[in-house]
Amino acid sequence: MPAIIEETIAQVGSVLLGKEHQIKLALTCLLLSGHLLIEDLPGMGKTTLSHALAKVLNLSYNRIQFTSDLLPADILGVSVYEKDSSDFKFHPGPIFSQLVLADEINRTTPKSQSALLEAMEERQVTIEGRTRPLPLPFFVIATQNPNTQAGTFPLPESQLDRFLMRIELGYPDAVAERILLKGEDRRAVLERLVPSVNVHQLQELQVEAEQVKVSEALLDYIQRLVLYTRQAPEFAYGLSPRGALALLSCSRSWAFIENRSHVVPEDVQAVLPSVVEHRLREAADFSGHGGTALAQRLLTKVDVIG
Amino acid sequence: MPPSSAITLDQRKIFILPTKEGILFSFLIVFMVIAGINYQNSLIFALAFLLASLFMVSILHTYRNLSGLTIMAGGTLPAFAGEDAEFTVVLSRFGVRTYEALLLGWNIDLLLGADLLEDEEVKVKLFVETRVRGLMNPGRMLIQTYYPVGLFRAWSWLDLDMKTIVYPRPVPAGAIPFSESTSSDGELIQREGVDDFYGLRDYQQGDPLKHVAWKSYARTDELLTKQFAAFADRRVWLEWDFFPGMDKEARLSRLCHWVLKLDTGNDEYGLRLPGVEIAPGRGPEHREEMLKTLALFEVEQGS
Amino acid sequence: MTGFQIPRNSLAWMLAAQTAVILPHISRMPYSTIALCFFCVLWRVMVYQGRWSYPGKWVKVLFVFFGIVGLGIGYGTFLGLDPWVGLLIMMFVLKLLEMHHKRDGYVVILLGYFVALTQFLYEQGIPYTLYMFVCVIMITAALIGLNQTRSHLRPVQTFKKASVLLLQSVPLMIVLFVLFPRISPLWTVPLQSSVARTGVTDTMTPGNIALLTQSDELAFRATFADEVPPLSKLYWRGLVLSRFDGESWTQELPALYGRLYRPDQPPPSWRDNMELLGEEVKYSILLEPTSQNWLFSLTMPEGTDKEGIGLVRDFRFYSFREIRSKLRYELTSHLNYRIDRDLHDFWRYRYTLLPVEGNPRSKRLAESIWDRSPNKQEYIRNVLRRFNREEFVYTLKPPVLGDNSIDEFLLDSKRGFCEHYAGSFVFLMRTVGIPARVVVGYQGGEYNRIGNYVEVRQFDAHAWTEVWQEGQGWVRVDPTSAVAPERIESGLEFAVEGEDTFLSNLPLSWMKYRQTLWLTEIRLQLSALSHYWDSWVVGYTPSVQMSLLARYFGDLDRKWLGMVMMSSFFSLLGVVAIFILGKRSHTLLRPIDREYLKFCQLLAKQGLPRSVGEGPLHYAARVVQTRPDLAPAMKQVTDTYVRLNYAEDQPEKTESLRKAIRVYRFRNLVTET
Repeated sequence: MPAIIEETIAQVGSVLLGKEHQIKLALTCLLLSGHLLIEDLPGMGKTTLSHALAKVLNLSYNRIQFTSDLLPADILGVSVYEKDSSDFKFHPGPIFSQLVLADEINRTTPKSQSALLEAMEERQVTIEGRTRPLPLPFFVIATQNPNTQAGTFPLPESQLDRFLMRIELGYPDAVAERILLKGEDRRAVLERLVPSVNVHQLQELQVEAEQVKVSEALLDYIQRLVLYTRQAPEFAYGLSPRGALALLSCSRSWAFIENRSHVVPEDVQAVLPSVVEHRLREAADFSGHGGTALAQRLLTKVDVIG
Repeated sequence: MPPSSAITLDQRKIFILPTKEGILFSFLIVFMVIAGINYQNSLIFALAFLLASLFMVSILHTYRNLSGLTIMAGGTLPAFAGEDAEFTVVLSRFGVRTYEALLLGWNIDLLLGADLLEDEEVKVKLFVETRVRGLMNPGRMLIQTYYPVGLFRAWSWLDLDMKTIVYPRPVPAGAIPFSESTSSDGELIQREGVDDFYGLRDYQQGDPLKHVAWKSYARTDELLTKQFAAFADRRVWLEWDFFPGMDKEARLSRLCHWVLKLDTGNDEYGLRLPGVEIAPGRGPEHREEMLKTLALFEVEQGS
Repeated sequence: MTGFQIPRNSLAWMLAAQTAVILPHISRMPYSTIALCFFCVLWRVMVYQGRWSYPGKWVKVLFVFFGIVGLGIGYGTFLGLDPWVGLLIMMFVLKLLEMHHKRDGYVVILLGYFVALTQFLYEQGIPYTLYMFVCVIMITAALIGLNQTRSHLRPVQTFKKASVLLLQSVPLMIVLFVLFPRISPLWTVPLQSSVARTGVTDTMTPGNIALLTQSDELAFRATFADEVPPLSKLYWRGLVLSRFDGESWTQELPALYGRLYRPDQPPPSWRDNMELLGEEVKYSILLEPTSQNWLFSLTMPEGTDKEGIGLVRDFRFYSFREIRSKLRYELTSHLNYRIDRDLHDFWRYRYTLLPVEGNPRSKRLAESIWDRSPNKQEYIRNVLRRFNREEFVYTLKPPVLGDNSIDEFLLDSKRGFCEHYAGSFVFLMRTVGIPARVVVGYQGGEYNRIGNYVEVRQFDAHAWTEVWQEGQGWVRVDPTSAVAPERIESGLEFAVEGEDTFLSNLPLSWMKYRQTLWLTEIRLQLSALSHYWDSWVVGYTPSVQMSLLARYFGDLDRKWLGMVMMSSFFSLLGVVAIFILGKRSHTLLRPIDREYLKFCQLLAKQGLPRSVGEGPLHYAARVVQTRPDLAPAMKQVTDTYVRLNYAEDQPEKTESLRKAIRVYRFRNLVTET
């Protein structure tokens, strides 16, 4: 594991206990400049994770709390008439920062959601006819309550695809829970975090991650996986080419974090649930769930050798 | 063997025997050999032996046309009792081997043909006649083939894990009586997504911005929220007790008919069966739930 | 009733196969039957296109009636093979109009196979056999089409499938063909009605052998055990003609000859009249069907031990059954011999008998030569010298002769073919009391060095004479050799080279181009191939089978042979099964994966199978957890596999992986023992 990354993981891990796998997944995502969706119940540490990441990666950080009355302008910013200069001055919204935490994205209206998602996709915003680029690097970590909770606007499938990964944090294990209960306030720990990389180093890491080798045999495996989702009847629809590409680049990035010069099937399998779950739907299920079971099926039905 | 969702055919599951035509063919070969003997004609022997070899080789080919084939249970569509329920079966092959002229179904007289040549997978829709409501398992499915030469029949019985819901057979039951719980004068329902303007009320935190009455705000500096609503025409309760003296199936059939009828109208409808109550509602999902409840209500075991 | 519609694919092949199968029979079928066939096929096509409907019951009855009447008129009889084949074909075609069920399709197809079979009763050559094989593929394609789904509309694909099936059957067929115990006919069957066949006849009139030489058909092939004697010595004796009625020569009355010399009886007294001298020549003859009873042999044959054949008093062979299929017989002959050293007075009388009337001028000629000759030998020589010296011409186009044919030939036209010379020579001999007779058969032939046999064709037909001399018995004298020695030395086409009459009515005959070397080469090859075919396939009779199998297995009885056949058949079927079923249903694995999976199987035997979807690293970790002792080997194999497969992307370099697995195996072996 590259030393910088090791340190990053260790630091974030000191705040978010017992979630090393999820932290690595988040890093994988960030190394690819991909956006991350964290779906879980409130209070599981979603905010903590993103805050810690921003701090350790030395990124400018903004948190937007999505509510039902949030307007697109609240995200993107507004031009306000200034009497002094008798001119409109643009007040950039919270989106103009390197790491944006879009908290509880499913609680706002589709209109505001799409403002964010467009910005994510384009990495620039257009307000009043003027296009303004967003800072680089630019990541969005969105969190979402499970859809079954009342008063939510679930993200449509087409929008989910914009997130490179979707992860769940889950409850901490017993040991972590114990430390959590006995230990000091996590917020205090968060305050103590120091940046382990600068923006320049981060970009270097991103370039390095792209150098990880992908062999024909591995591409075969990925293709078999993708083909299976398109052919097996339990899948309502197959993985899109974009999904396949996401799977490949995430595997690569994961392999880099694992300090390997090449991708092995285990890398694919490590990232596969996070990459494909929100892109798949079970044929028999209309509610939009079942992605987890499908990902497990993929892993146990498609052989790495074939 | 318990039913499973996917079955790959192998020698334990495939049976193979000559057909009537195959037996006729072997008689032809015997006849040819006799002709060869009597005419002392080597080439007649050769032809007879060629056909005898073809006979034997065709066993292998017929067997091959089933072995390795994977049959998966696909989706099912529910049906009303007496109609045909649709079962989708997915045939898939892995690798280079192709399959041709497969016949499958539950009724030996009504088998459906399928090929698996270029496609790696085909979905076959099969229809099975239903008789009684409830959860229906069509039983063991037959898959057989005569391909390539029809001299042998290879077959297998598959216990696929397939079930579908059979709704009661709808029986017309005249006009819908009003139960006392039917609210005849309609009820006001406030809901999102309906667009009849109903009135204004004070703005509250969390109200959608597009519902804010901006014109009124400009006039009065008071934030008001527009309210929208729709009137449901009626709320109808379908009651078990509508049909005194009738047996269970007759009641369910009539209730089923009304569910279908009400579904086409604008009324919200609910259902009350002994021990079961479904609140009034509308839409395909509601209908689905109603029918399912009717279908599975106190189903006798084994149907 | 009209519910079943035969799949298009099947119907197309059915019609095509029908046409192909019937085609070779057409020349033997009456026109009415051909017309009926054509009409039925047309009707069936119309039914398929939906323009016509199936014929009613009465129409069909009418068809059958006309068909049978047509056959009866066409053949004049219902006995014999041809009308029955005709009837079969008619049924085959009429069944087309009665295909209401899938079952009817099967009946048509099975009849098709049977019609294909009947063709072998007529023709058994290589080209016909190949043709029939294609026909059988077509019939099988129709059979496959019958079992395909209706959506399958690719007839070529169906044909290919049929070819695959049949080609896979061929090895099995060969086993059955060679090993199936051949037995003698169970009962007699109608054979092909006698057809006019070209060949030597038992009557010789001037001109009929010349006619025979217009044909290049094969008469027989003779395979020699050792060196082949020079062509000029190959006189294939077929018939002895000793009765002359003034116009034609015929055989002696059989009653006068007495008993035949046959293998199953003690030799008759005249057997002692044969003195066979000199070296023996062993050979076997594969005779084409002649529809006659006589057989050909080199002078002078020993008796035969083949059943159904006997030696006649005039030292030639006779078959008790008409030769309707190829017949092979083995003979031993002696080119030097002395037969009938003492000739009974009765026979001297018979062999000098001439009609009282007719040919007076020839008789006078004979007497004048006789007067000039001091003895019989000198007389013979003088007559031959006369043929040689005077203006006698050897020609394939002799003029037509009148009543006194010998007079006209000897004194007027002086143009003739071998039968003219032989006939008039015997006439001249008998006039002066020298016993003489005409012998008909073939002379020479063509040596095929590829197969070491002599091939004799119809144009090698020849007539010569035998003259009885005191102390020497019957001596062969060939007057043709006095006129045209090149006929005997080289063959007919050299003897008639100048007149362009050799096979003049067969412009495309191979035989005309005997002088073209490369063509000859091809022709000899083809001929040799066809000879092997005739001897080993067509001629694979019970006795050939027994002698062939005895060579490899020693003596075996039928029961044993049956067991050998069954066991070889089923073991070969097993091989075919592996070929058909063994094709892996998975896509082909790359070598490196195959090696790795082999390794996984080794571990599976230890109770640690790799599960589907388990990556090599996870697998290794899991294995090591339960079996820490395997850690080093696991690590080496897994690392090598991962390195080659994923890091270096060089899956073709399997050597190091194989080596790692070998190391694992070795260690395992050590720990086990």
